[in-house]
Amino acid sequence: MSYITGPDVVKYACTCGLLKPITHLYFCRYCTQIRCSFCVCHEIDSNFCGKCSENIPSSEAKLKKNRCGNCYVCPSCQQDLSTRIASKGSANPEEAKSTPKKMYYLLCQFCRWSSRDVGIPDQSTELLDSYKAIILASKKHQQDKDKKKRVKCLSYTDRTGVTTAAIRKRLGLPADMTNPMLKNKPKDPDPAKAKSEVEELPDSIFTEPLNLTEVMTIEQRLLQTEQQPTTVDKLFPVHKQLSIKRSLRCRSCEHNVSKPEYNPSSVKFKIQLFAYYIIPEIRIVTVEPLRAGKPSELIIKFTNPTQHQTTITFFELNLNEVDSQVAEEVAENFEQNLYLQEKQQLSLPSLGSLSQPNSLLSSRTPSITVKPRPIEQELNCKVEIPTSSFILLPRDDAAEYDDSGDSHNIQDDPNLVKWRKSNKAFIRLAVTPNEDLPLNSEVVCGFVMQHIYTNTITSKVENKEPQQYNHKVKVFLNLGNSVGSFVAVVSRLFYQNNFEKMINLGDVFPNFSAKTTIGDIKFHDWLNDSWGILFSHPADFTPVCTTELARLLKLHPEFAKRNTKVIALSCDPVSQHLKWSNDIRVYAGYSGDAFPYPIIADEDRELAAELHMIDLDEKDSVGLPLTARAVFIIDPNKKLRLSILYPATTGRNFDCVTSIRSPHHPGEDVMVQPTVSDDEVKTLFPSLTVVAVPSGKNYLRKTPQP
Amino acid sequence: MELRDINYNKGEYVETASGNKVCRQTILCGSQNIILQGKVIVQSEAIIRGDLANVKTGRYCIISKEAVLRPPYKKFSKGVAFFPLNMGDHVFVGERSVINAAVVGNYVYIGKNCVIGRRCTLKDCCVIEDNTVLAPETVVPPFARYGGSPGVQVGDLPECQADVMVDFTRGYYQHFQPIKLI
Amino acid sequence: MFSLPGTRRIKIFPGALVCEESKLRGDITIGTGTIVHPSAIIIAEAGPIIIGDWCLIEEQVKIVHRLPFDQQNNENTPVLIIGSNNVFEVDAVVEAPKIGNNNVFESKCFVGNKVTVSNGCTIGAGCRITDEQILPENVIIFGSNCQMREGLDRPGPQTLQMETLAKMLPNYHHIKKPNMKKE
Repeated sequence: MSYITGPDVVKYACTCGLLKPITHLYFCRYCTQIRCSFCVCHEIDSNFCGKCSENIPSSEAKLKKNRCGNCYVCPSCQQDLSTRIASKGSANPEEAKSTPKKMYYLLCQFCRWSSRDVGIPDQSTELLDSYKAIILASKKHQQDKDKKKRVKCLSYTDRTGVTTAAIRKRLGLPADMTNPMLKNKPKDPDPAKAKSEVEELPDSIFTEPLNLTEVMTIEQRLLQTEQQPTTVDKLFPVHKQLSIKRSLRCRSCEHNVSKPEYNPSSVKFKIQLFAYYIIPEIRIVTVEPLRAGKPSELIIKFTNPTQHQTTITFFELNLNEVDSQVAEEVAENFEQNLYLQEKQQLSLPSLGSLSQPNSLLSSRTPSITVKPRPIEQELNCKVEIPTSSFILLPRDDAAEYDDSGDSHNIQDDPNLVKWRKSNKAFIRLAVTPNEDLPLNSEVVCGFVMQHIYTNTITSKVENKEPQQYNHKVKVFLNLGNSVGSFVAVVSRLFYQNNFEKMINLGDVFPNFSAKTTIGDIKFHDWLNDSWGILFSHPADFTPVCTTELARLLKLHPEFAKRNTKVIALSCDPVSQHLKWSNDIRVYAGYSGDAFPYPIIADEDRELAAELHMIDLDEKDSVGLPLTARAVFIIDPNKKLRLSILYPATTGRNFDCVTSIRSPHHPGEDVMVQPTVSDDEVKTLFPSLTVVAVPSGKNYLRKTPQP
Repeated sequence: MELRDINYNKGEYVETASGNKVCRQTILCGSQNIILQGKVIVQSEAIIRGDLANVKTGRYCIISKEAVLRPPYKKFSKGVAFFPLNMGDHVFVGERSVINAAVVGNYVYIGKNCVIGRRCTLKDCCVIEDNTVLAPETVVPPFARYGGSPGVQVGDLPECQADVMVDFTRGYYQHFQPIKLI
Repeated sequence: MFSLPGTRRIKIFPGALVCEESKLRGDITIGTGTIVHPSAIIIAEAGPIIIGDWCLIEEQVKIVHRLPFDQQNNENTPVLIIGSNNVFEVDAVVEAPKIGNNNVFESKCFVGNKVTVSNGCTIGAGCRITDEQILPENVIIFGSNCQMREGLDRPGPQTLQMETLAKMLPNYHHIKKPNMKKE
């Protein structure tokens, strides 16, 4: 969605040095170079009217000043005018048989301007009908002629898009000077002479009130450049301008790069060598918030549009080096053009002095090879270039119907390739914005991507295998603005919430390392072979947290009985934890010396974010988010068995937590597992009561606590 | 930028055999006259007036929230007739847009809050920007980008626009994933 | 349509076609021949609304009778009288305190609650009119800048369309029964 209406974040460097998104680039197969609309030659293929979708031959278009003969444009809002019928009763009321006349008038549907507003009388049917008959007859006549001599009727220009002037230039001949319109050069008008006397303004201008509804706007005035009337009642409809279809041609090898079909309604192309179909497309999937000097993760998506497999290799991007191959080619063409240009000296000055439109001489821009210009883009971010390359599978259009999944086995570097599906791959790169980057500035990074281009032209008969070239493309990515550390942390949390998933029950708990009140620990080592309970609380020195941890102090022996180690976590530093633990001991009336369980200090919220314990609604005085009240129970195999997440506002009942390890209320009857069959039940649990339920199934079996 | 997964509540949407995903909160009048060719997404509170005339969409169309598809009418001397509304393939209709067009071609992108006037014709591969008002009976030529009120041509589209729209609508459909809310 | 406590009846004259799926709230009187499409919203918050004859109210239209901020605590309940032959196209939002006859409110227009609409006005598509003013008769407002133009005469009535709609709509929608006798 964004790349249709939004900014272009991924740009490729064209051979001429301009940066364009991939949709605006073309690829010349013969010179295996990228071209953009700036360095190709534009030629007008055909003229057509946008409204009536009629092709108009270029000669007629020139005569009519590039305007359509049938369609009109509203002078007041520049929208298309539509013809409306108004039926008018017949002039002679005595003739009962005559049908009412149909009068046509023009109406603008947007501003309701009509031709009647200006006083143009309605055109009657009879006149139009007779005209129509004449037009039909002449068309038929023309069609008959066309059938006989079809090819010859279409002008050479319309068929190939190349005018005689362009052909002459290509052959090296001077421009045709015998055009009759050139002979009668209009005289230059006399230059205006400055006068010192100025006519006085009539007094009425100051006294008469101005009625704005009668005055034309500048846009409306300029539509009718010949008369430029000032009042609304002189607004006349103007003919609609024509649109063109153009074909593009590579300047160095003179091959067509894009050629549309003749039909104005068709969107197909006879020749379409677009970069979108040949060069792998890169799209940014996600980027971690960027901080100056700190590495962030960038995930980009590569899509292979071709039918051949390709291998992508990354290289460092160096803005200063000029592609040597391109430079040579340019030098050659430059010499050739100099020779041609001498011959064209005669034609060039005439371009300027004529008042006739340039289309007379040539509908094609002169063939000057564009010298590659240095790329005007500063890089302020370093990309860690991966050493390995990866394969992109060919595009398979039938794959969308095949649900069997990818059957290929591609050895991927797991650090590089995060995910892969048919012809797409997600690649992870590490980017580091420059140290000295000011806050909130645009971060642009770049690299050179080399892909294998398989040439589908079979130039020699014997050589049937398509040739493969290594083609390098310079890619520039606009990664957004750099942020400060606070925003980075919070956005990283959002990023994680969307992209990474929470630790699920049964997953191995990460072996994090953390600073605690008993020193630095690694979680798995500290846990050893016991069960573990990790719980987090929002902040030290707060009432609810204090009561919770005090309760934990008292319950600590119970946990120890069940071979369970307890560890706490909050976002305050270790020093605060130590001070606070004294408060807790006093509150709990704890007699022992040392605090029985450690408290982790997670000041940069990394651990809390990783374990998804952050409560984004609660913030501390600085504005950094706090942890919610999470409880994780981990088994001796380091797998997560239980997770509870309370909001920061709600306190926990730690008695409940202890009961989780023995999940029933002591003293009450216990339920028998449904998997135990009835016979076994009789032997194992002699004193059994079955609760009768409407369904008649006896799965509710109770027995006293063992 | 790559599209993100757009999640919808599974209970809210009905998925048909041909892959159409229609929200239950849409207002489909005259549903027997509405033909959704396949893999069409109709998001919540959209209004399709099939009761006035036939409405036919192509494949991979996306009709966003609160959009209105209304067949246009033409006045004849003997009365008013509602025309069928034909949409092509790979058309994206933005939120709250009002489509009164007679013909919408293939690969068309219509932005948010647009008003497409009565009996307009949108040819293939055109883009109507957000908040555009197209006057009635305008013909939007291919590869044109229309914007403003009144809608005038504000730009051109690259020649590969057809494929760009195909990729976009296909990607949108693939990312439109259900989540089960427990 | 749900009835909130305290709402008075919706009075529908015979000949009017009000679809069940439209949302009418408050004291509303709908004249004969008027067609209200589904998902039209008419809210009579500040006082009753009287809609004239032969009006056409299309989908997503919001006609809200709301008091402006500075008059919130007035005791009297003003009545919003909408004249006849008005056309409200899709997604028009109209909060004007007084509307005359033969007006056309095109798609997605917005008329604020300080604007008095007289007769024969055409408010073009997408136009937002908020300033306090009385629109002169037969005026046409168009464009993103709300340019004003004087029309030659009032916009024609939509009788042909309404006749066709009157025949087609009952086939596809539930229609609210008229409950006022023709006087």
